[in-house]
Amino acid sequence: MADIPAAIEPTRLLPEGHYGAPGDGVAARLRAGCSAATLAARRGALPALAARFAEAGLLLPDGPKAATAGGLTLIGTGPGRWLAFAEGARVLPGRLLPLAEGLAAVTDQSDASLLLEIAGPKVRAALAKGVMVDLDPSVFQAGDAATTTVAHVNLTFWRAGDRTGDRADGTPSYVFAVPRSFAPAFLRWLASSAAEFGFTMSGTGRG
Amino acid sequence: MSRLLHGGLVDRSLTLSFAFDGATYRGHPGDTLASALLANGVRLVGRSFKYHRPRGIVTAGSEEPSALVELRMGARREPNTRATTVELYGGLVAASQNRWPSLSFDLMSANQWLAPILGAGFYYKTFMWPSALWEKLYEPVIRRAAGLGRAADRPDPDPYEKANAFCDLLVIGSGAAGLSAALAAGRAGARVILAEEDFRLGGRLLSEFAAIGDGPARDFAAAAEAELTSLPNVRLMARTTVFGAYDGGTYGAVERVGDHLPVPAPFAPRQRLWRIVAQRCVLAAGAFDRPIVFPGNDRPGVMSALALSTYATRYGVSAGKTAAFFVNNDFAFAAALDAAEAGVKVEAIVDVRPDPALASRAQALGVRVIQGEVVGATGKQLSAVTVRTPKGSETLKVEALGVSGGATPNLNLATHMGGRPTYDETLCAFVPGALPPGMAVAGAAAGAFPLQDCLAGGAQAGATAATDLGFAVPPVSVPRAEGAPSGICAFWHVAAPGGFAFVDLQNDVTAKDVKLAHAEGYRAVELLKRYTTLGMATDQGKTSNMAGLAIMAHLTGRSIAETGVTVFRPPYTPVAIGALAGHHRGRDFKPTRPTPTHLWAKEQGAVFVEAGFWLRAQYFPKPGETDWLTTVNREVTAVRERVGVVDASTFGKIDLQGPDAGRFLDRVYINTFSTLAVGKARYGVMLREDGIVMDDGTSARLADDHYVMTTTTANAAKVYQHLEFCLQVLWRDLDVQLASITEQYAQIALSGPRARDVLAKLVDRADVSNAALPFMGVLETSVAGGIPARIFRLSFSGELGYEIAVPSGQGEKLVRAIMAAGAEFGITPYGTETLGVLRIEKGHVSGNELNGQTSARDLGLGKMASTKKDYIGRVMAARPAFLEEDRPIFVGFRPVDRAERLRAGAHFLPVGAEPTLANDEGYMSSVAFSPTLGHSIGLGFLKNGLARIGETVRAYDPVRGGDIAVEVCHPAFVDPEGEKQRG
Repeated sequence: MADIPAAIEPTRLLPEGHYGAPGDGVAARLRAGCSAATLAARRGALPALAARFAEAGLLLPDGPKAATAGGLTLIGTGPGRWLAFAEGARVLPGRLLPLAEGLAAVTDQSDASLLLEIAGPKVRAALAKGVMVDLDPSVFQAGDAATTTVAHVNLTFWRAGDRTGDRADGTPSYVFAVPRSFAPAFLRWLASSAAEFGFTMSGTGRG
Repeated sequence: MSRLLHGGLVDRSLTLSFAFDGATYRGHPGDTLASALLANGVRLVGRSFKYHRPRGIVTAGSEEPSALVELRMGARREPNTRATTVELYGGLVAASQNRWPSLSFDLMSANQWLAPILGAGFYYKTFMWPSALWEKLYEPVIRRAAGLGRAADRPDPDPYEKANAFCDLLVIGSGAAGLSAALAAGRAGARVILAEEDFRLGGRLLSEFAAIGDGPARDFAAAAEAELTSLPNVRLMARTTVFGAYDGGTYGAVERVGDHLPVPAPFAPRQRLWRIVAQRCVLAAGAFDRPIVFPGNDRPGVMSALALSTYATRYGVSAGKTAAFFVNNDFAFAAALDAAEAGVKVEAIVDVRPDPALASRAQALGVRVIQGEVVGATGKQLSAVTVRTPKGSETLKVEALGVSGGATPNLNLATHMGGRPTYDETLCAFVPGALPPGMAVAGAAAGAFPLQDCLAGGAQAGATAATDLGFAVPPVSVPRAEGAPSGICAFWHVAAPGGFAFVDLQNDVTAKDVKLAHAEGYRAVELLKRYTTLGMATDQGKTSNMAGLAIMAHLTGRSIAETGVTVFRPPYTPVAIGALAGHHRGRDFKPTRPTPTHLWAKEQGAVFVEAGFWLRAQYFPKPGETDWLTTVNREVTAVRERVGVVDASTFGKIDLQGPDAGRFLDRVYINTFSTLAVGKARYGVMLREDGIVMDDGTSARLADDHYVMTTTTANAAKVYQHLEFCLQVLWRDLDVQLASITEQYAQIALSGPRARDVLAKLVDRADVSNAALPFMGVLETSVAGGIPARIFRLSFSGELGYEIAVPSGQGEKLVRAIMAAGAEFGITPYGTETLGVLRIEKGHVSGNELNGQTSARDLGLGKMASTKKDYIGRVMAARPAFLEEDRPIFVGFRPVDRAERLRAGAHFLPVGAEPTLANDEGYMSSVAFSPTLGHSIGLGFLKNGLARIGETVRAYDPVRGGDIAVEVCHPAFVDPEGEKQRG
């Protein structure tokens, strides 16, 4: 850790670039062009909702898991509650509405969070500096998700549900959904935590 | 020089230069500051806390009570650092502390001649009166005289961080027991963390010439470390102190990542605070060598027997040209022989026992054994000790005396969750009692002192932990060890005339103080501790507690078991505040949340203010405006006369859906929402269960089964949590789904007579006329070229107003579009200051009034409360005190002399009444200068206020010297009929 972001305004997203020690220990990329929504089952409607999703070829995970099918990623955030992401602006909440009709509440959250892909050979060691969840691969596996607090920021993160969750070199990759207004603070923490391993930020603009 | 010719685990091929009190010395890698000082013949290293007595190095570990120094300089200066734990590095600078003008000649040592009045409890007895002198005289004098090192007076330039680790088994300590436990569990495949506070693994194995298997104990330690390093499931953490045991198998630890370097490595922290979550824990923290109390036992040169031996065997240092030992047990006897073997000139071993088990070994080594007691020590630095034997008295000329009263198991962590140790008469030691869940204790920490028992007990504990967790544990083979026997004879205190006989070196507590405590009735161990300070401060009495309570036991005629022992609380050793803060210091002390329009506001030259985590625009000064009031007056006037724009995105926003959403709101608000028409909003007030107002805001109905709620900025999280609690715990039958949408929407408010003109230009197609979008109406449409928007016709300012919610990523685009559309109407951006002035002029309540003490009736909102339904807080809000006529009620105030300035916090008194509590009639909660009215205005709570409109009362503010006459008035100073917002 080091005082890397000292010159960077705490209100802005960490600009693209390399931070800290030489090397590529950790890399973060801001993923743009997604839409998002929360899905919450009506009282007693969970079985019917799950059946309707299954019929549509979609996976509604049970518990703190992330599942991707049909271009839709659903992450369990609580009993009968999910956070949904889809590639493409304005895909959600529209795609969920017919599925949820009468069985669940859908709320547009496309602008609520920023999605950050965080990966690299040292990603676990860096994340351990704030993530109070056991990330050991034997414990937190591909498809596992957690809704937790990291450096005072309430967020949801997961390892993607299929093999693409890990990089080609076998190092793990995580996706963090960070509340928009907290994203600058989160990235300051991440850059500080990953600095000793070499940290690269992309997707946030040159600043 | 006191470095022995050979031996030790220091690298003699390399030399490190360091400074102590300005003099330069040399040491080797592998030294601690303490061993290097002793190697250079430096025995006097500090002055004591109360009497400023010369003090030396007493131990070789973190239990050190005495050798506290200031390490490093300037902003990196660390007070009260134990020289015995500081790993030597080239260029190290340290200084002694608590002395003036110099360590050798300390004027404050005159304190020891005042000892008759500075004894236990002297604070309580001596400075009773006049009590006024406490702050001015006694405390400053005491603080200057007593005390330890000086903290750095500049911010620490080095970074700190926190980290989390998880494991099946946490092993604390890497001596024989710890290494064996880690090996047993590690070989079975369990995820093991082995934490060792020293920079080298091995514990006592590094200091004893015992044999394990076919080789020296040190070789066993090295081999075990090599094997553990090779296991991918084992993490070795040297320089890591586990300082606390907490709920749920959680342990706190500090890793000294860069403390052994002049400055931390690039991008590395100085220290890292670990939160370790372990399924199981083996505490293998060893034991402390405890002192025997005798006159003069604090002379520099008197130290723990095991420490004296450790300096010889591990560091190749003789703590004095000649040495003697004073012991009551076989471990220390064996350690003395190790020291002699290492090359220390041991004049004699004085043993209180008539026939020590190792006497013949001593004879073989040519070391003299005397049965007797050390009854005195002389020399500012030890030069001689007097021994009383059955035959008479004898003087030994020695520079070092190794004392041991036996081993005290290091069970501190075992007591962190309240477990009381129990006394074992055979061992003469307290052993762990009830343990924290998941913890086992092995080796010396459990009172299993013999080396063979440490190896076997550690292996057993490690294997048991792994087996419990479902690992297949291979058969454990414990090597054979030849260690010292474990005989001991209880012996605590030499009854002999003479000077100070210290029980607690860190707090200058003497045997006489314990006697005084006994005489004055402070006999329970907890009282003894507090009355004498025995066992307090940075060392927590690790070495001193036993002798203190043994003396008390003797005085009361009770056994030690009956006397009992105090327990420990975290941290085990001091933890730097910097480590506890980690990343969160300076600008990262807390997250900074920018609003969706932050960048735009910054361009406009806004001054920002922190509102919780948020950073909000406070006001927008224009060139030439030299003070904030000028700016705010301009902004307020612009809103009242034309139109203004403010970012209200920080309000909490909650999406409520489901067939029971209306019923749910009826239960959480005092007023009714189930009857609200679709497309309408309503102001609501919610109470806590105790009838006090919790929060206010508006909720709008978007569909039969869909509402959106706004909360105040401050209570956003609290209200959401409250609603979740209601649904998950209180009313599980209600079918309502909640979602926080605070982050999803930017919400920009337009206010002022020209607001509709601006809005009309902004919407893509919608009709926003008064008929189509009346006051409290809601419209879902699009603005500024296709941005989906929800428009709420609400007013906080009292003017015609709209709040426009768009996806937060579009907030900046929206505000720029608003500014463009409003340019022709003179639109003015405003911030939180103007927001405040506008609402005070309008008489709306805010955080100052919703202060956790006020009911809806107090706030003038009682009439909103429905009498036809139940809601949270209804019953308790009807308690008699809430309904008293005399209760302070929300009203407005203006100065009788309009030129006077009102102050929030002023209390109201009847005119002419004495300023006494009995005459207090309420207080001013909010004030502002109203540019609209041209004078100061205020809101507040006055007894029976509504009935007293027109009366004059006194606003009394003794803190700031305010005392003026104010007129009670209606709280709405501007447009009390609400015509403007409806127009």
